[in-house]
Amino acid sequence: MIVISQWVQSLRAVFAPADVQDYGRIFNSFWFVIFALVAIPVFWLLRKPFLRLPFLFVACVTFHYHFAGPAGMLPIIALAIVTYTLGLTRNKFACAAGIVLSVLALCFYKYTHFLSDEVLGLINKDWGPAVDAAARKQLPGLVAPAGSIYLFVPPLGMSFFAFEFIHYLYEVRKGAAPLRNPLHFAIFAIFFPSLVAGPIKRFRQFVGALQEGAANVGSADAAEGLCRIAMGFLKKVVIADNLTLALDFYAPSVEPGNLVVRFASYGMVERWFLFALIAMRILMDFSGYSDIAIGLARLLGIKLPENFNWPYAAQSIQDFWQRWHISLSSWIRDYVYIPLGGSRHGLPRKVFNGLLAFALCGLWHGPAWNFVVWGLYHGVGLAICSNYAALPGLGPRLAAWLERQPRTCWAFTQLFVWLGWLLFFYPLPRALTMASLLFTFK
Amino acid sequence: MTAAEIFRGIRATFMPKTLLFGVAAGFAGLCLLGRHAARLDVHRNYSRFTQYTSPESKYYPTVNEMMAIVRSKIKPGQILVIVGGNSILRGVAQLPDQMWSKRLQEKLGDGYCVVNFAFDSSLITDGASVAAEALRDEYPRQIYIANAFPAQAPTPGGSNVYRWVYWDAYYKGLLMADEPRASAIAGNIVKYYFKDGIQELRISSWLDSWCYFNDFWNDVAYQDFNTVWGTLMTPGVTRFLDPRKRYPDPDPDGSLFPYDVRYPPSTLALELVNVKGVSMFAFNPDPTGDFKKDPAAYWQVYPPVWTLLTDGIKDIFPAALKKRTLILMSGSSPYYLRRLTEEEQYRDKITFEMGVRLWKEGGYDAIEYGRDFTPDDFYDRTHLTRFGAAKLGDLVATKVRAMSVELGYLPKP
Repeated sequence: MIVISQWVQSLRAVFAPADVQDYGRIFNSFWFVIFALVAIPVFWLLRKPFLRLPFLFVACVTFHYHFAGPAGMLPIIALAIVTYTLGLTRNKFACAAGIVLSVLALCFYKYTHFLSDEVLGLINKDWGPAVDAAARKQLPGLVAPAGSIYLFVPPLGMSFFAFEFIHYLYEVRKGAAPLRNPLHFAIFAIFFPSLVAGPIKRFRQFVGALQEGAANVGSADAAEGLCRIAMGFLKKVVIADNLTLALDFYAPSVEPGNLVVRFASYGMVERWFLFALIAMRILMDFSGYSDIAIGLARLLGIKLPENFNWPYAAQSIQDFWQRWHISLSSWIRDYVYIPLGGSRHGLPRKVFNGLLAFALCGLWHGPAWNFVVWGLYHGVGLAICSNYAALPGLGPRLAAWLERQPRTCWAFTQLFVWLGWLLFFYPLPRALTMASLLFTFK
Repeated sequence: MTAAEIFRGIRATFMPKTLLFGVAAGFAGLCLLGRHAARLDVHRNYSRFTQYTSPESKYYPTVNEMMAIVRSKIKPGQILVIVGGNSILRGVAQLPDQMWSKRLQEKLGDGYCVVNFAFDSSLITDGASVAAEALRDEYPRQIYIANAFPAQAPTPGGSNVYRWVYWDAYYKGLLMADEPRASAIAGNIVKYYFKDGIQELRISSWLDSWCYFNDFWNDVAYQDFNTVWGTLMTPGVTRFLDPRKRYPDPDPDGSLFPYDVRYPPSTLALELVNVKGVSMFAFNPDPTGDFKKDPAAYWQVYPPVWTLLTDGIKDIFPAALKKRTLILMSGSSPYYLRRLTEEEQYRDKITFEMGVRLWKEGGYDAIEYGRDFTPDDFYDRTHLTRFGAAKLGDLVATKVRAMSVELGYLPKP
């Protein structure tokens, strides 16, 4: 009886809604381990694609419900139904309206507080709190807990949903055939391996891979998937999580009193060591999570796009953005930069488009100015990097010299990128002081 | 070389099915190693859990680990005395040789085996009580000692930080089936803890009951190499990758510290508020913020606080284990007590007496200590120096001997 009672208790625990508060730890959660241990072998055992796809959909819904809850699922379901329906019409106006809706939903959930407090607040300091208070009064059920960077609790994976739906409607608007099979669209929308942290999928490649996986998943997929997951967990749990603990102590982003007192107290070697650890932490954390997502999809026979390709080996800023968070940078290129005109309207417009695209890229990471500054920093870097050779006189000679100096190019590129991480992780004054301390001898 | 190319290389090198078999076999092997590690006492010459072998530095001792410590220390025929409770009973500010539980062992002699499983800030229901319960059949002649403050109701199933031990033992089938306790825990989960990691903890404990990964990694971290960085990794003293067995026991001899460090004048006012607070909330405040007295000028107790304690202690342990539990009411240092008014001192005294009485009425044994100690016996407001440790050891030894007779472990003299 005791054994049965314990089994019932454990099953109750497994099926209860999530209490994982940190979404960066979903793949590390024990609930997910149980879920994967059940869902993936059942997917393998079903054998027939017409059974596997509905089962995969049910698994995705279970995952989404568990971690997002009903309140987190409903907005996504509504947005997905609207996106699917508008796509079927193939009407350009309807698709454009759907794109606007996705953008508005993203702004509503992730950027209301930022827009009201930080943007409106710049114009009039009373306006921001007034808008916040009005929004809280109108939608009390959606309000985020005090101290949150959001005004409303964003549904799990909101940024990824919005970007994938925008991509879908944009492509359909341009003439691509929409997905007619609602099951294919539903799995594209809430595919559990990529739901939390990407990679951002493209629907045509994904549906092709989905059908291929459902028909032909085999032991080679399982072996490659497991290797990839193991590598992901090694990067994420063993390296990144330990680095996070250490950096929170040695170089915390929030420190009472003198913001840089601890970093300034270190010697030059220690400062550069911590600087390198900051760069390693984000690479290992993010690429580790991507590896787990790609590996999980591979266990189902589905090939997701790569997200990282040795970014710290890049020898230029352009090269870096072709290696770092590839699915995001290519999305920004295809759906922001090129529609804005890309490089087609002269140098000033090209630079402006690049800066705007990168500012949005930064803002995508979170509703705070330091992300915008980080995006603009890369936008400026990219503008210089891609145009300096055209400068009369010095430009061609410098370009020719750098072409013969790949190590120098690599060193400058990495220094630029790593300094950028200070802007990414720390408030601007602190980031600048830390950067200056890297070049200041005691 | 891209990641995809690396994986193509791996695929070409290893036959997928061989690799899958290897993964499964490797995992099964690690589970077996975990089961093996669960039976080993890695803490040779154990005296207590230090900051480096506790959650403060992200080390979570398992119930099997505690049971293994007991099995390696206890000799046939000895009565087992397990010490739980918080930092006071862990022996903060006492060197390992000065610990009060060592003194207790010396006073009790070879007939007893005293094992200290106290953790900082832990409650009566935390790790040590679980280990004692898990060993109830193996060592039925046992006494469990923990400390509390008056009117402090413990949480069934353990406090937030330490409740992993309860679920660890629960899913390994080491605890007594006890419906009232199960209901109390379920009620608490619904009321307080549901969104605070309890579900993850239960799933992990359930998985661990099959795989023994916690025992495996604790064994690796203690014996071979540490795997988790913590803020207590002090440069020059401890190194991140060093096995935990090489880390020192960092508690100093608190009696060597001068008075102005132990009782800093700057915190006097705050500490007096804390000392008064022990008894304050147990009595009725009147509308002026003062406390009601009855016509004979005695303080009137505030019934809801004491009802909470009476109800709270009712179901924390199975009935059979209550009578072998000794609760020590930890008093405040006389350095502060003497600075209270006479009435406040009296209120403190009757609060402690009431606490002891209610624990006894709940089926436990209880005593208070500290009121007749001196400021030199205390390291600060609550922790003891080696002098206080010796006094506490003597006091508890007398009580434990008496309990051993009452419980039938020893014949009546």
